[in-house]
Amino acid sequence: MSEAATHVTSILATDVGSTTTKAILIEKIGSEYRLKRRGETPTTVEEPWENVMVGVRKSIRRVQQLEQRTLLEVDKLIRPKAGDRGTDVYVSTSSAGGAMQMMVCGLVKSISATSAHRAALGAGSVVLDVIAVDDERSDPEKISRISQLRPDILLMSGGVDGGSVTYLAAVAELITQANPQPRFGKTDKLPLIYAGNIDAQDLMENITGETLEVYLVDNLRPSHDVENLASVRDTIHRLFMEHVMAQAPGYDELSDWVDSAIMPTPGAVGRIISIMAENHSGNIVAVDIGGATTDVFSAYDGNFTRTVSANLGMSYSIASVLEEATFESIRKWIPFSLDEDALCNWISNKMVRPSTIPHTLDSLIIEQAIAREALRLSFQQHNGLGKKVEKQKAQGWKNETDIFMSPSTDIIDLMKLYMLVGSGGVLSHAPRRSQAALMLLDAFMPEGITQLTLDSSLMMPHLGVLSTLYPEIAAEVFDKDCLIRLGTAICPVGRGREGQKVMTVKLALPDGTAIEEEAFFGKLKALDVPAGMKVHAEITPERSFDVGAGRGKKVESELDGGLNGIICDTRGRQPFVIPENESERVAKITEWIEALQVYDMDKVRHYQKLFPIKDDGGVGKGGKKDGGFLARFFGRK
Amino acid sequence: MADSLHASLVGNEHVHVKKIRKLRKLPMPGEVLVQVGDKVTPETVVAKVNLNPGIPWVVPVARQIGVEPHKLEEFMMVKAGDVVQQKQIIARADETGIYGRTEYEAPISGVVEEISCKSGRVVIREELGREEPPISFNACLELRCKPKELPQYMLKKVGDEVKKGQIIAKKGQGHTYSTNTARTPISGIIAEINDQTGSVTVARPLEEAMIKGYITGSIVEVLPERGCVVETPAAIVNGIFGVGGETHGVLKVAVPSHDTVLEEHHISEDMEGKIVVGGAFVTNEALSKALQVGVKGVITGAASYLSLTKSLGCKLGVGVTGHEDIDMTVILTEGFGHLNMRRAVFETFMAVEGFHVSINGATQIRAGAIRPEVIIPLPDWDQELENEPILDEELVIGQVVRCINKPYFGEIGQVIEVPREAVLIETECLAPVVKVQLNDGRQVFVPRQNVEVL
Repeated sequence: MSEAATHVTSILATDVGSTTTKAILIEKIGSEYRLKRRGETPTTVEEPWENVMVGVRKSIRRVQQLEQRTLLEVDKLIRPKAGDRGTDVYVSTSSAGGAMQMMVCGLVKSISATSAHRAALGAGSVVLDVIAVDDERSDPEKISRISQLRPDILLMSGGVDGGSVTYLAAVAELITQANPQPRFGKTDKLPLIYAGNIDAQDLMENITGETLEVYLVDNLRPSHDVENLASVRDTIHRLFMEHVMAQAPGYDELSDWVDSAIMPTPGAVGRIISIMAENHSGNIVAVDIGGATTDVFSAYDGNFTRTVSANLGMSYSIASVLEEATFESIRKWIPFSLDEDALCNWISNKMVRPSTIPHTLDSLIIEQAIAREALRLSFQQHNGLGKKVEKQKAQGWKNETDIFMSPSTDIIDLMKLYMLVGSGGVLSHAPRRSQAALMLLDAFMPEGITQLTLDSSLMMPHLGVLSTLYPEIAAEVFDKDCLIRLGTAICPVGRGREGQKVMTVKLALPDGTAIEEEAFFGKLKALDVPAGMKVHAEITPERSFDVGAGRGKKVESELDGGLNGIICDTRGRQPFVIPENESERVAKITEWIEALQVYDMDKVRHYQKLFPIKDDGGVGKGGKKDGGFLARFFGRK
Repeated sequence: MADSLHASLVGNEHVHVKKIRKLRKLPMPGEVLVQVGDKVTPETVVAKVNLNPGIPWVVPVARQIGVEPHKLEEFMMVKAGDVVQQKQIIARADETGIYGRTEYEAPISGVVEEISCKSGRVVIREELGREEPPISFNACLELRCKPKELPQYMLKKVGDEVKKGQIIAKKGQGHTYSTNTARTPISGIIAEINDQTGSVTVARPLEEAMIKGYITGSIVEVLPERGCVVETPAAIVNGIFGVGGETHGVLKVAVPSHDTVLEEHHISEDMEGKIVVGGAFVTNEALSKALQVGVKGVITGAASYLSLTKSLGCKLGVGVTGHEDIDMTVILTEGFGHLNMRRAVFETFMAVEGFHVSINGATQIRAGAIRPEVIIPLPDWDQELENEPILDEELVIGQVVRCINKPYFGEIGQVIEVPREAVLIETECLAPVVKVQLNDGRQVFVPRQNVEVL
């Protein structure tokens, strides 16, 4: 440990999220550094406070209250630590600005919109509206729209290289007329990314340079059949990283407090994940689900990829999760019957009051069902975008969707995934660790053998920023207090019938005992292997199932135990199916919940009585319940 | 009337009068029609723009006359700011360019806005005269079709913006040799397509963009060419979610109590043009009836998400609401589902019933958010104005709070204990809580995040 680090006995770190502000206190106890206390309060970017510092001070006071130690004196941090007062170091990360809201200006609405959407995806921004020459609004309407929407960033695209610049100039002038102002008034000018015809770059600079901060990047569509997203996405991502921090009121005061530069939360988490990936030889996927955004990180075969899904989150962006995932996909995870109206109202209430937490079990179950979909969608985005998609030839210019379908191999091979790391309020604060484990399993659908871990106390951002100052302390706390092992999941890939034998698992425990377990299709089972214990496992899948070595091939491996032991997830992969029939679905979900003891079953049954299954008369398509195959022709029930 | 109404509010504990300022700004520079000190009403036009700014033509002059872009200025015969006429020679080169010309004529009458020596291009902004009459031309002659066939060949519809020389109608799609087209002789907006005479009328854009006062008050600041700031003493109620934009009308409380659901029978024909206040919830039928009657705004405690998205066709998610294409603004004060309006808020509305109020449903769900508002301007208020109360950062014993999540959603109580340690709640989560004595006497633990200070 460096000499400077040994003098440090107390470190205070905060992470200002879009919804909650988290403070942690790390203390030197004997010769080791450990997490002492953590405090959490709602972030105060909204009225009546409109200042992140209120939330920062509140979270520090929470730590102070729990630790019974004075850290703040008349709203100022006491430094350095003197006796029982104050702290030596203070660092912070921030993502209070939330997702960036982008407005796109272009020539042809359909082309600009689709390209811009793809560029925005995964880079931390959402497209609010597309202004195009060919849309049906008049100029004053377009101008008003730009001023009223208060975007954080403007993206302008259009024209192929060497093409006409007339209309681009017209659009640029519309933007100048609108003179959009930055949301919080901290920065001087609003950023405009120009990704159109390169011939118009200087024209753009001339027209908009005075009112906006212009970033010139390569053309999004250098010719009709080529799409080049990389440079636009990089620029959006860079601006997002600056934006998530600096765009929140009170940021200036916070930067006066800290000992090292404030880092954007996704940057700090990315840093700790890449350090972790270096220390482990296996492939890692990590997810941090927040209120406004969900960040997915992957370190695969030495490639580090990070995506920020700006419209997927558990508070500000929760309505977008509903919109993207649909009601049906959320409902399928809930072990009781819920009508669409109730779910939509629940979601919209969470959206307008982002800092509330579930107080009743039914709310918690609903929240975790939504989280599964938010995680699944953001992983889907990561998986699709991790692979470079730039310079792909579209099949033809009418066929916009072909770009998505064009061959691009996913970077993530779930079968080769070594560790899945979960972080974010809904995962880390899940009252039972088995809830986090099941959420990760349901959302990511890992295949083969995968270790499930959790950022137990939402410390990854703090430790990421701390690692810039004291990497050894950060690493020590990360190992001892941050990451907890939820267990190892064995998920055979293959189709089967309910109750069919899928695999045999033989475990040899260090004390010499042996466990032999047969797993059957459609089930979930946890084998008790405590955290910290390593066991030798021999997994023999049946002929049509694969756990990593090929169909029917035996795998031998050292497996880590965890809080949920070793989880045999034989619910099927490719495809994973949940019954469509309402009563069968509820029964199946309840069975899985019970298998991992995810919720208090008495309470679950209470809510099942409260929200009974409505007789759906066998909604499933066809099937014997409806009278079988002939019923399709004769309508017999 | 106004005086007696005002007098009724003096001393009312539910009406807090503050000074309110509203910025009224044009989307583009225009004419400000008011001066500092002027009194305005919600309908007073405070600023307007009469004219579209015209379409810029960007012409690659350097390439056309075959000179290096950086030398373009040497060959230009006009400079930025000059007015040029169509066909006027604006650049002349010494030698013949790639297109065999040495001169370049302005393609349109307008003002030279810029000469770029980097790209070799010249920007000419077409001047659209405001006084010029609309021009009609016979498109059928050019298309060689019967007048009644004209609409089927039109590529543009009434209201579309067209640029001089643009093809606006085409006959014989796909047949290269038998295609007839009609081009517009002027830039403007298509005003009429006549299938009797076969003529198309193109009007000069005279579209007016105007900004109204929105609230009753007086002008305290004028932003030259852009707009003004209106100020007034007013009572203001902020909602939590809204759809629909700025509107105004006389406030009418349609239900007897804060916990009454606003139903179809509460909406009557005489509510046309009014702002109707409901209580706990608004039914789908009531919303439809209100739209049908011509109610300008509905303020209610809560509504169903699906009513708003499906009945009114609003899309909720990221971004700002308030620009939906609906004739009625809806403001929710509490949230979604069956929730009673706060009694105090309802009392405020009761107190100001009959007043002319201005409302705006615009909501932005994000940090530094915009929330919907109900402004009750009281321009003649002569009592002392209230200042913004200073809020405690921490929850303390004695504070009146409201629960904002299940199972006590909407209930009001007083903080009686702020325990230091976290407490186990139903979800088995250890959460920092406060002990609240609800109005019905129950003493309950509520997570600190689930209460808001009133």
